[in-house]
Amino acid sequence: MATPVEERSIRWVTSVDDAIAQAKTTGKLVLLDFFSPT
Amino acid sequence: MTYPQTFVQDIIEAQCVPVQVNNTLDANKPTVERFRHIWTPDVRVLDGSGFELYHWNGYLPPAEFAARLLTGLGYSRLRLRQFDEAANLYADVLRRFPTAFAAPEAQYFTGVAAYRKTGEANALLHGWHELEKAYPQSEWAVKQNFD
Repeated sequence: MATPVEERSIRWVTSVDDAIAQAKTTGKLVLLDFFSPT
Repeated sequence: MTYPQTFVQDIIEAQCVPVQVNNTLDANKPTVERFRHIWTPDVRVLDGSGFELYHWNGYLPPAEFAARLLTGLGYSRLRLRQFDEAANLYADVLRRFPTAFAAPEAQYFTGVAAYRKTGEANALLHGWHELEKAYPQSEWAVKQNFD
């Protein structure tokens, strides 16, 4: 039986302020994506 | 679909804290107003204080998205005066996505990053000479003209 391959996905943060706080501690930049569900 | 592509995910994981905001939810109205959001797709790059460093609107297919994101991250690092990081990001654009819409912008700011780092005009002129050579029809080739 083939081993199922786990699909990778981006771990999105849902709070902008949490993302900003994480960026401050990690030195990364925030990628902020506004979207409308289709 | 752009985000399922592993090369897009790799860039985001390595460089970014990603946050998505559904603009149809009442709970997100304050965020929509805070960022003066008006139209999707709407992608921003912010620093660790929440200051907006780069922005674009509109759908891009995966390779164009990756090139635009790397270019935006490069510009963001440049504005933060992190010149080596900016140069590396722009080099990545030019190496991996040389035909992307964002590539001329990456070439333009490659020269700017080198100039800001060294203060040497030749560094700027070299970058802009490459721009004129590789992307003569681009808007950025026009922008480098200061006659």
